[in-house]
Amino acid sequence: MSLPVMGGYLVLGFAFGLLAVSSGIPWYFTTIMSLVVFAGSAQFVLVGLLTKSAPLMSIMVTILLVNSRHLFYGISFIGFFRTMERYRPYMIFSLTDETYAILSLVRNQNIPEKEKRELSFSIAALDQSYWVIGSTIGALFISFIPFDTSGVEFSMTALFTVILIEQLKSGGHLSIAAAAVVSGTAFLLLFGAQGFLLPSLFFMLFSLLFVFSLGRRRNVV
Amino acid sequence: MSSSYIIWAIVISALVTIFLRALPFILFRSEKAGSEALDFIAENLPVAVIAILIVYSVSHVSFSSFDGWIKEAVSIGCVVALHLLKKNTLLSVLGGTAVYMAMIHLGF
Repeated sequence: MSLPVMGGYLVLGFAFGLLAVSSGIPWYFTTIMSLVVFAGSAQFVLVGLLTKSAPLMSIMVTILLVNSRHLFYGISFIGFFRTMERYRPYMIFSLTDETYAILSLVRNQNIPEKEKRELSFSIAALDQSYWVIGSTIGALFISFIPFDTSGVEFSMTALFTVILIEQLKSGGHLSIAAAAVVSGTAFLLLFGAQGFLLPSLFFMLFSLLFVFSLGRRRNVV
Repeated sequence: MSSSYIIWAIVISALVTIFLRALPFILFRSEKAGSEALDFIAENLPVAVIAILIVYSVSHVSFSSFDGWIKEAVSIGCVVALHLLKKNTLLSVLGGTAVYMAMIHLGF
């Protein structure tokens, strides 16, 4: 069941390895990042921040906001992971977007609990191994056979674009995406590439809270 | 870029990510423990975050000349078109990146 993820993680991992090493990060740190951070989009963002010598504090806040969506994956798996026994810590650690998507299918399968547990664990572990192997091969490849990789950073843009399309297809609001792009671009013009990410993320967070409170007031009255 | 800077950045990113992934399991005991506001954010923040990350990932563009942004715009257009037509994540990412790299290497 982890097969659909295999191609994606191997290739994206490869692209991540290329990008990290051509941004000046040694290959072994690429592998370590994929082992201990294991968060696709956040790792791409992290490489960008490192290249810009961002302060550690803004790295922390940015990763916090970029990965905040993982909070919500956990919330929907609280009951499911209670049956994971000794695998539970690893299952929580390795809950990426793709693994979450596959496990939400496994959760609803009608199979014995032990089998479901073993299956879920092997999916999570295989997904991470594809990611680690892909990024290590990419990092080693570019370390030993240097070639002009300019433009490979667009794989990050392409990945985010695809994720956004999938989010919109599964019920995400186009208006929110449009508001985020417009306000993000405005902040970019205002603050420049170095400092616009955090203001943009906070602006959208508070805007959503504002919209929520407006909606609730209307319902109550 | 010093090794200690990279190591600290990795440690911080790993801890923040683990913290976010583990927090729901520490805070909530039942499936429906989230507040309404949390549910609303859970549903809608991811779209906003990813849309901002798209802008972030092309934040080197410049709007002062046509050349400053057209490669990015065309390549994003290719990704969207490929993905709507073929619905294959890998193909969309590889195709869009190939188009972008081709434009750069051909000197547009």
